[in-house]
Amino acid sequence: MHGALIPIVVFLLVYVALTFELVNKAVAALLGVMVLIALHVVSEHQAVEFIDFETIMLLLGMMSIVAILRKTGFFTIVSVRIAEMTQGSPLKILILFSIVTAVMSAFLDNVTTVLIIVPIVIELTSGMGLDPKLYVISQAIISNIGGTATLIGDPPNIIIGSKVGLTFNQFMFNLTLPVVVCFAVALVYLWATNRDKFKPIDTNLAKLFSVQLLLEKIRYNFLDTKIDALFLTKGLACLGLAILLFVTQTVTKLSPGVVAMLVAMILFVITRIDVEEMLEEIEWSTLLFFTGLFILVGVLEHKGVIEWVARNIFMRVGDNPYVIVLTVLWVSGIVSGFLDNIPFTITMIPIVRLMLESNPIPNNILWWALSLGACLGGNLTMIGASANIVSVGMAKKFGQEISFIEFARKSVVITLITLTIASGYLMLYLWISL
Amino acid sequence: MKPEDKKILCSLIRDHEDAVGSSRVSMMAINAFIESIRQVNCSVEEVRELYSELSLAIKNTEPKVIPLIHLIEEFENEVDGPISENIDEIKERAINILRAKHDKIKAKVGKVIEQGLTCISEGDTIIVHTISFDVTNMLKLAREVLHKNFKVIVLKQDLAKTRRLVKSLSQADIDMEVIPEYSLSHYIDQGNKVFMGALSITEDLKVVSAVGSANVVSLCHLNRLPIYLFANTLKFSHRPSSHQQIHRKVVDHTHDDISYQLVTHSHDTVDLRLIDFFVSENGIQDKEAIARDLLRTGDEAPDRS
Repeated sequence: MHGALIPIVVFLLVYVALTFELVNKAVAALLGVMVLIALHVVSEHQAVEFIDFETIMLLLGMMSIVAILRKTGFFTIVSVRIAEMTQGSPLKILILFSIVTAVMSAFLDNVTTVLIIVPIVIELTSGMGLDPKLYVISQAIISNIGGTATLIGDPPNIIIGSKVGLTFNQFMFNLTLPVVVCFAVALVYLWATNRDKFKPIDTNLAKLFSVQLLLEKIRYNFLDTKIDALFLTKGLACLGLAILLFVTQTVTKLSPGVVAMLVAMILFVITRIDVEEMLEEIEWSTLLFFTGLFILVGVLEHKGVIEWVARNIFMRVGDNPYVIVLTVLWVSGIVSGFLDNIPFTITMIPIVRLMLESNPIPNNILWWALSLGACLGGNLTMIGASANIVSVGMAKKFGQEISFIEFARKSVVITLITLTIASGYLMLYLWISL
Repeated sequence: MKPEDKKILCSLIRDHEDAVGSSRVSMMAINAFIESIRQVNCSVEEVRELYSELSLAIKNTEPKVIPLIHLIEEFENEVDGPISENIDEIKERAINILRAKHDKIKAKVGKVIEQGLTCISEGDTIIVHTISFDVTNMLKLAREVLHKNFKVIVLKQDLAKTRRLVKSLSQADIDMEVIPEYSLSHYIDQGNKVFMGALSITEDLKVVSAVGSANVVSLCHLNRLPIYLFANTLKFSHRPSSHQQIHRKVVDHTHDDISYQLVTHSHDTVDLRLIDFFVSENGIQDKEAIARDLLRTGDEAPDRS
């Protein structure tokens, strides 16, 4: 661990800056990198080698695809149709929108999903005199649960998939079952604890009238864009192609990053969209944040800090595989509830690798524990995941302020339940595998 | 009906009227009524009371949506016939009556548009402030179907409404210029007519129209710019403008070191005498005809059929 003090201090300072949002997260990470380079802890050439370009490509590609798809108006059409299908029934609003949110966030990023779903949910529920906060919080929670199911659903999965070399199908096969169970249980919990808010309205003519009028208003507000059928077809065809290539990754030997970038470039060409305008939609600060973090963690790894943490903290739990898996799951879950799960996952990957070296656990179960913990743990608090922060921000814009405590009242129990379900699943999986 | 349900219904109708105009919101409300009757789960004994309760709420919104009130009153009169023992039959009867009301207003709006299209000439520069969904469609039809070349000066008001109007006009490839409402004096020489819509025309001969329109109409009238009012005859109210229940809103504002209460109203009232052309489903009435048929007859409202 020679010369590790400076990178440790820089890393901790960056973490503090990120946690308390002292500066922009990309600036915090890159400033940390620049300090390390300026102090000759690492050279610029070495720093570049630490960047995982596979992850960056996957993120950039998916951001481009989603930006173009949003432009087609497809997601708005889907949301409005779902609103119509609910016919104002509070329970149907919860169930149908949650299904759409879960499916969308499995294939798109969670922030995009809540940006599309939350405005319509707020419009519908507040217009009906329901409490929009309950629905906003539930959609944020569901988006984090849904995003756990696939390699491209949530940034921790993208990082794990790219850095460890796990395929899209492996994520689907191993995580869909616990995610579906968590989703169903979360919905049952939300219904059971708020039963009085989900009463049917079919005996109240005035309420039914308001709902119908509201649906007319939503149609008018959200469907005033002319849909270009050709543009929409191209967008959906490319999304289908991307999913097909993800699923057939073992046959095509194309990594998810290559697939995402390839499809994004095809979309740019065939839609002849204004590239400059679309590039403005890309979250460059997130990409730079990832880049900086890869370098910071790479330096820690290079200096032996990660190995020290793994040996002195995580490996102290012993060599019982059940205990190891549960430790990774619950530590990831609880830490991700308070810290950004992206830097946490990047930090944990080399640690999990070292743990696997000394205690091989079959079927990538330890990676699934990290994924489930980091993704589901994001639900623990309002600041645990980007989707939570964005949802709460949007609710505020619509005049619905959600406090940290209000969010936690719903989210803490759901997170504990989903982490318990994940524990049960992983224990069973491990028991079968050993 | 609970007061909070009444409040929600009232604000929904008001918001929607503000966005699409009173004729369109009347059609939407009737469609909503039909769909809610279809879905409601009630007994034969309850159904009449439910209709009355909802009708009463619709008739008492702030502001009152006059075309909708006329149609709901007609519905109440017609639905008050012999009552069946079968709930489905009762519902079906009510739905059929409401469908007829929907068709009635739709036909009237269609005729207003038909008449209105003759008011748009090649080379016109039309000043619009707040026009309804239907008058916007009329402008689109004039450009897209009749291929008329004209320009629209849009007076910018609240962001959502202006955005929709600008979007609709640009989709129809209509030449337009968007200016702030308060800059109209600089453009008054460029325009050759003004188009406006109305929520209602009251018994005391006031046009109840979108907020801000009173200033625009006054300035245009002073500058002898012909003002066209588009309204079907269902918009004639039997009551004076003071009964229109224009919504008054008081909002607390704080800016830096000052705090004050801002009072706003949902609609303006404009004197009917300032209108140069009244376009309804019955045709186009010029100032003389308005004075003869509308102003002189005062309390005797024109065709309300």
